[in-house]
Amino acid sequence: MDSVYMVQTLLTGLANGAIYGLVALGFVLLVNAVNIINFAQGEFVMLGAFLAYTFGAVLSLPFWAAFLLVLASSALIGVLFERTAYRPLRQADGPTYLVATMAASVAIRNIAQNIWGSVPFAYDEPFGRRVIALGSYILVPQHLFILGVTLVLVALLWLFFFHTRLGKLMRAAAQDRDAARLLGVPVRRIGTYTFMLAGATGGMAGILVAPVYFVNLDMGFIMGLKAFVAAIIGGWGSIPGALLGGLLLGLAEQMGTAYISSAYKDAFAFLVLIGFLLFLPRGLFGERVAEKA
Amino acid sequence: MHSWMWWRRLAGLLAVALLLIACGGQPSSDGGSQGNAEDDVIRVGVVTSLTGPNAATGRQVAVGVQQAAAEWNERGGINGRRIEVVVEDDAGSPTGAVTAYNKLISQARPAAIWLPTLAPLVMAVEPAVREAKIPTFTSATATVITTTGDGWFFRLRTNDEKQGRLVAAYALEELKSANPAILYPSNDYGRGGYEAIKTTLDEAGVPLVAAETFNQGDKDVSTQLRKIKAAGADLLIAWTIPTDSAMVAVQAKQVGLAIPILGSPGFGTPEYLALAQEATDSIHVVLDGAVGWDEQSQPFVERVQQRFPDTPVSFVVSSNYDGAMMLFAAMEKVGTDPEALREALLATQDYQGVTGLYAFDEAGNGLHQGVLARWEGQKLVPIRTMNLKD
Repeated sequence: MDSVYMVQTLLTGLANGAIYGLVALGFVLLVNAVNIINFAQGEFVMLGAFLAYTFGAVLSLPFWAAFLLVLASSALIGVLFERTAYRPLRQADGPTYLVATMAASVAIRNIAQNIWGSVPFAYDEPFGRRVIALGSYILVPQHLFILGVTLVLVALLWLFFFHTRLGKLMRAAAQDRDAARLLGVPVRRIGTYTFMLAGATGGMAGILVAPVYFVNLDMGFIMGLKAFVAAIIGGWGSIPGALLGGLLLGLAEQMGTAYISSAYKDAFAFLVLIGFLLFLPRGLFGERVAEKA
Repeated sequence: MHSWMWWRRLAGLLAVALLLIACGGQPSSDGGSQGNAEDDVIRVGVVTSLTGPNAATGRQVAVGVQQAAAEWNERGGINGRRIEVVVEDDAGSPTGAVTAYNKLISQARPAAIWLPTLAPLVMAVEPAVREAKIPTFTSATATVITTTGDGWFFRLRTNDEKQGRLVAAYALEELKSANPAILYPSNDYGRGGYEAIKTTLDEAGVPLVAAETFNQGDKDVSTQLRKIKAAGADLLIAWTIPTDSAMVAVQAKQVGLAIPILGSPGFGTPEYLALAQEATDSIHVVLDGAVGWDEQSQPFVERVQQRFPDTPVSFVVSSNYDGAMMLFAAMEKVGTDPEALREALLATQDYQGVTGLYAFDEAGNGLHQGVLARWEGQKLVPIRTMNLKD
């Protein structure tokens, strides 16, 4: 097969990978700031997509307004999540949090189904279904948009966690909650901020992904799973790693589909994951385990 | 003394428990008493998805049966006995289907029962169907279903094997394809359709130039579509459920795959239209029945929408309605003895339903037709009906 075909496949891989990376950022954020795995992160994305549909299509607001409203309401959902599924369990251990986030994800899906019903919707803002044809190459503007936003978000989050006071406080609280509190870090308030951020990141992923995936109740679960894999490949807790892990996963899937067989698409994704777990268990940008232990 | 934290946790647990009770559906029935087998009531059970990924279609199953029961009750019921429909949610999972089925059988003691329209859910219940020994209806299309269940299954839609042969026949006869390609999900549904289509095309000497698969739930098939384009196909046969059908149509446009599409019934659903929007050009569909799109089904559509205004009326509603009408007619003749009902149903030949002409074969397949239709803008126009009654 020719080079156009290969480049086009690479582009599709990168586009899908950017989506996985974007969702993975939400995971990574909570790992960095409160050191828990949030299995409801995918549901934040689903809620973001449904809110985008509600603001953008039902209320016919322009894209920028819908975007801001989705961010704001998703941040609020993050806070609500913290108050109900995280704060009451404060002194618990890891598995308890894990189960709590799983329970929350089921609850969120059921609530969403009660509000929006079970029929999927289409939401196409801001680019509609136009494509850009460059010679024999076809580009989907929404894919470029997602890649661009994800890159910017990676840079912003990295700056935030490593070069701002609040970000450093968050990381301190995640590493050792009690020590941080003894040193005067307001761990409670910081927990709230963190979940606001995680909610908003998920919501943003939702509105960006809505035109690519249809808006439906199952989108969160599927993306959550792939994003989880991306976060592991990238190095648990690494911000640039989440994006790179996502891109790698997307490329592996599409190249496998194109040159080997579409029947084994998920198998390629999991082969990559198993490969990393066996040979590079710390991922691309391995977490400095010794420091956190 | 318990600590404050303890109380707080208890309160949290209680809240969760309450939520679960609120979300977990009560069995909804057509009203009336819940007492044990009174002589003036005939109960019919329906296990279907009221929640979960397939809820949009699942509700249509219940609506079909409820519509038939309501119409029959308005005419005075079955020999004076009122029909009561008890619906139980399967939540879209095989385990949910088994739980719902067992609950219905043990509590409502129905004279006949409807199963979900998804094959994996039906097959999960199959061992229990052999135990229960009552007429069991389904609109799931996987060919294997009616080879199991000790002959208690009655299928209300054209099975995948016949539907596949119809798709292949239309591809060759109506769309004159010389280089067809196929895209299907890598599950039982996809493989079943693929086998039937491939066999028919091979027999006709027009083999597939490409056969691509995807995992149901995947949101990107553009690489597969590009492979099909590169293989020089002149027709894309897409064997997909409604949501995936919209994805295929939209992405085919995006990758510039400028060949006609011949789609499975999923392409002819309201869900498909809502998602695909304008991406309907040069798309053909093979449907079980043209209900909702042709003239003669309009009175039925209006009747159902009067009672269930929020439900889209398609062949899913009508096939389950037809099944219920045939069952009630049989009950009027022979009563509710399961063995007598089975014989009466198998003896039902050339029943003109809303969906089409029903005639049960020994295995319990009732419908044998496929309607070829073409999208013209936002309207689906029926072109030809083929009946494969063998």
